[in-house]
Amino acid sequence: MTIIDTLEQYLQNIFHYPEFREGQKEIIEDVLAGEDVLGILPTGSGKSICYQLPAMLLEGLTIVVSPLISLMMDQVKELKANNIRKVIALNSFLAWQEKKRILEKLNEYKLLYISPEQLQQRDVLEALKKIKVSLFVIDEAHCISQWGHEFRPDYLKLNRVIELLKHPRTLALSATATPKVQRDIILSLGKPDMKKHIYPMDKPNIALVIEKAANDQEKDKRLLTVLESYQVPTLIYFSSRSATESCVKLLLQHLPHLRIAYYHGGMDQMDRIHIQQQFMNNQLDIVCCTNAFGMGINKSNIRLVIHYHFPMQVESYIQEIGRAGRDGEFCISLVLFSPADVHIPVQMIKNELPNEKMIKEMFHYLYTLSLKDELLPTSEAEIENRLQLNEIQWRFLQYHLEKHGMIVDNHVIYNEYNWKQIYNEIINIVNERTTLKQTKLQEMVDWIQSESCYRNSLYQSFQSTIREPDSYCCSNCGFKISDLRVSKPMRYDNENWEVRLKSLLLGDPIETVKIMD
Amino acid sequence: MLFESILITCFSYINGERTPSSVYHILKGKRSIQTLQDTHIYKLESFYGIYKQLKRQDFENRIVKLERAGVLKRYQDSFIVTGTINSKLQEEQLFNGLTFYNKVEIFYNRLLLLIQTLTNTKYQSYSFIPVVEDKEAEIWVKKVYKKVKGKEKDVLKKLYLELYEVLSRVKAVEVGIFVDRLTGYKHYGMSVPQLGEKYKKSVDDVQLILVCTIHQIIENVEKEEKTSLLAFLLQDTLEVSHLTKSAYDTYLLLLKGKTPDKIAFVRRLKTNTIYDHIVEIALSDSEFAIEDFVNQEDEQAITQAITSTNSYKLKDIKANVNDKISYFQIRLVLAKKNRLHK
Repeated sequence: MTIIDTLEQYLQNIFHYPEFREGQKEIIEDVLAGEDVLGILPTGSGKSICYQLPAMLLEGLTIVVSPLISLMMDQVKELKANNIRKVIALNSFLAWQEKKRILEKLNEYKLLYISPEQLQQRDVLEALKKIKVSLFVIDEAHCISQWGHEFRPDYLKLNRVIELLKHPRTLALSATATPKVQRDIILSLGKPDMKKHIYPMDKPNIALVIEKAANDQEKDKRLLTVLESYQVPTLIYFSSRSATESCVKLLLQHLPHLRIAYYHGGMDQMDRIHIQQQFMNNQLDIVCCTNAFGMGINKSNIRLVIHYHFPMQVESYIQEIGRAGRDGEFCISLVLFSPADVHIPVQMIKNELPNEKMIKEMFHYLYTLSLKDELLPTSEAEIENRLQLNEIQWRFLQYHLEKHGMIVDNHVIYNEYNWKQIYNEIINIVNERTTLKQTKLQEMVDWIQSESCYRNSLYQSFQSTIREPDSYCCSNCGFKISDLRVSKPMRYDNENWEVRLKSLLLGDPIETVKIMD
Repeated sequence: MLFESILITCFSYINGERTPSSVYHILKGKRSIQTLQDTHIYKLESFYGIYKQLKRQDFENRIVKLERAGVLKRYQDSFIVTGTINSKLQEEQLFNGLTFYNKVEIFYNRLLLLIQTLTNTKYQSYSFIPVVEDKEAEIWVKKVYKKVKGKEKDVLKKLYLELYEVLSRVKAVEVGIFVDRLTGYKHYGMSVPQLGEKYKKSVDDVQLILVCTIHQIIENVEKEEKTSLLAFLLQDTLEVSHLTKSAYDTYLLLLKGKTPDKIAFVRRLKTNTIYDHIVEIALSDSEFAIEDFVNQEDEQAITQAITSTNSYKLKDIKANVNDKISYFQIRLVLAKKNRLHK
């Protein structure tokens, strides 16, 4: 029997990784030593190992707070595929009974993924208080900061949870946090002694290209030219679901020899798994997607990330291009920009928070409920439907209404004077957040239109020194995509179903075209 | 094409006597007395529940299109068929909706997951992302896997021969769609939109063709000897197979669209006994619509009472709701919440 004595051996035995990536070991050592840690690691550097490994080694339960249900599910699936079984995700999609069952035997698990909303539920907190929590992890910790690009009000309540759980060691992780956001995280968690491990965001292996187009037709033309001459595993980001679908149609028409599919949040679960896994398996060349794609995607050989629509802030852009070239090889980010594109995110910002009319209606609705002495419906879908709010808008309102004691456990508490004040306060917050988002958007647009080095201007607010690029820098430093050409041979897929069935069930694995690797 | 054709057939059968909603519910396979009655009255048994993924919006859009094309014409609250109708497509005759109602999903999920598992473990590949998210199917495949471990090659060979045989007998539809959807070792199957692209068909038609293929497979397998591997995949596929004999008899009558009073009369039992059966059925059949017996408002009141009392005790719950809500209704809501499946 071999005695496992180094972290590397645990990493190999449990997760089958040969070695740590930059930053992982340092963070894990501090966590195991009982420190509170703030870790800023760029996308694709394997943040999750920083808590997954300690979770397996520490006695008791590790809680991971994560804002994205799909991300949780992906991670649980992946861990289970690796034979790590004592893992569970708790979110609002679980049936009531199922949740109860999980809470009753929480102590049998090592790792619990949970949404911040679930962490506010009384039964969940009661169950957690009864067991030993050895590590409390806050994933996407920038959500805690009002200045972060994805502020989630529920994250602000995490410090109370940590207190309730008697201060287990805490690990806050993020891929994108400016120094200001880092300070905010530490402040909100009330842990001034957190050990900071900050690693640079910049990717020396990526070349940044921005190309301007007059309109969508011109963009489409350019897209076709690039994909025709530069045939590598590619992700193309769009701001809407319908745009991903229509672009796939267009591409298939003109590039019939490439394997192309779309991916967005509106697809059914089974189709989503198929597309993700085909792409991972090199059965697909190009995926047209919304920002729903990519979370938890572990494909190492993406060579080209195109933004047909640019994201609403620099932080999202950095995360999305972080999915390219994870193997360290050369890769390209291409942003296709036309002046009219600016209107899309402006509209999206407007829809993100409830507007004045919605807030007014919400107050009116609550007032009627209180007059009739009725409870707020327990079904969130019903509330959202009745008031025509989307999920994010309702979450926002719910947080503020509860914070001000207007809603307590589904009861409406009426007080005329207070309500007027609260109303004004919420309107102010909405305006403030909208302004902030607009500033963020402006930052992104300014970057796209900047004439100096794209690499320097992209990363300078995140870090003081920026590394030299491995090969090419950016389009402002003279790099052009047309300098490069990669093509792959034609595929043949004409056998009849009988042959395909046979090779699937009996044959040797269908070889995927290796040229793209 | 297929989807439109089926819609036209449905509307021509109901002949303006039912709203479009009832057609929608029949295709989705809603387990309510009204829908089941409609299904029988208008002889639409073969289409019952054949398109569970259908979304309301898509259904409505499609009808608007058919109306614009002059095939359907508004008639009171519904539509009648006016356009020239080609004779029914051959595929349409091959559906067996009501009979295979909840066998389809279980059988198909087991098959997909079994093929994915065995083709992987054959190559000692034990970490893969399952294409199907279905706890029941997962447990089932795990059980089978334990039995056949090490003999994957033989099992796959048998499975191949049986599938080949049964697929060769499938009529009218493109079998390739079914085959391309399968996932094996290092090869993930195609998504529905991808299949649509490859075979130049709408997403609706791809879904329907898959169901039509599965119906034909099940039909053939059930006719054959019961020792085949595919027949084994079909064992215990009925969620309601756990029902007591008497409840099962009630269930069959409910599927015919009979009301509890009628069933009590036919079976010479007390209505309360039938209510007991219905609670049992609601617990087993994950798609059973309880709204025939509890309206939404009452259901919500009961749910709220359960949450606020934090108890399953009927008495506690009853004390916290309106007097007109019966114990039967509370039991039904509890049954829905505690479904054995899902």
